[in-house]
Amino acid sequence: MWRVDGVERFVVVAGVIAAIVIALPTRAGLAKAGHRFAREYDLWIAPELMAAVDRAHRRDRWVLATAVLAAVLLFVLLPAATLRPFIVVAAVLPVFAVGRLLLGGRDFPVRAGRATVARSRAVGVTDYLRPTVPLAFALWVTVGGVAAVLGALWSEPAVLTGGVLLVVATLVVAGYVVALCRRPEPASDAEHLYLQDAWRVSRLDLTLSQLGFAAVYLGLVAAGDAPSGRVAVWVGVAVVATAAYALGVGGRARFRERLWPDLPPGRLLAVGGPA
Amino acid sequence: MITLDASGPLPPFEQIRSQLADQIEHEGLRAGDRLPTVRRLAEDLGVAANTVARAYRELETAGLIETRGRAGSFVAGSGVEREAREAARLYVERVRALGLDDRALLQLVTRLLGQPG
Repeated sequence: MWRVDGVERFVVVAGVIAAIVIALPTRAGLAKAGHRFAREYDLWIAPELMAAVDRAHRRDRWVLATAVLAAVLLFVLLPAATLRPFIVVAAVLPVFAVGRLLLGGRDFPVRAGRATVARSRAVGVTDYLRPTVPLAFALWVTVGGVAAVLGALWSEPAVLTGGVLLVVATLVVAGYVVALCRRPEPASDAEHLYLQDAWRVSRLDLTLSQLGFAAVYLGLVAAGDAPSGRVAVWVGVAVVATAAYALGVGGRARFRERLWPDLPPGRLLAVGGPA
Repeated sequence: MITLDASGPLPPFEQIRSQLADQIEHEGLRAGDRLPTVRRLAEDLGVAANTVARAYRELETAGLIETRGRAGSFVAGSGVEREAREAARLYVERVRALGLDDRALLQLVTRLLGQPG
């Protein structure tokens, strides 16, 4: 049986409370998230579809709550070290990815008896996300690899573990991105398909920003704990990670440009309403 | 975009085939564009994979699309390209029927291309 000290007890209690709050959102909280999503993606969503958006947000929050609980458990099980928070952050990314992949493509089903529409050409990752995303993945793997190698050379096992974990998390998230982009998007009309595209892009972007944050965090934590002669190296790693973040995250305009070229920027799209 | 109307008079495979053919003819889909996989399109439209596979087979027979093994199915060419290919095929058939061999056939074309317009 492991011993739990005061800090760990606080983290466990705070983490469990956070997971409960995340998993059980208020009606107003869900509505706010739905309206924010609609605003960010230039959508007007009919009330009956808004309920589906709320459900999708709720399911996404369950995934997040599961990941938070996994993080709390990992935090308690891992030995105390400077990089423990990073290891927890990086290790829960695969939980996000797998959870979101399981939900992907099932959030807004077609009502029975309605016509269905589909795209007539194949789409891939760079139709949904920025074309620089593959480069961002390459940089995140490089950051993790460099951290692992330097951690091994300088006998810093926590940094070594962090680097390896970042590489693994990046590969899992890359697999998730590719797999989610291949998932079908059953839709009853063009607007319904646009809603699914927007939701998909928002979830992908969120996961990429979590990965980007983890990579920057690794560089900063390692810099904070390093002897003065090595700080510059870790700051450099953090800078590269920040560049990867800038290249990988924020592809909201991309899917409109690639998949909806006829929609002028900023044009509001009405989704749902009478059949 | 392909729209499938389950209550429409045309069978689903024909709705898919005719809409894809129309988009290829009118360059909504261009030569070299990759079509969705049979499975993906079937799941998007909520039909059996066989339905999409049949539509793709018929488009392939018509020379509108081509399947490149595991790489998937691609639009074979625009209307102009297809007409040019058809004209070339007719030319080859006609010249061979006249008893000329392939070298003579090519020489004729080369000579024509070399002539000032």
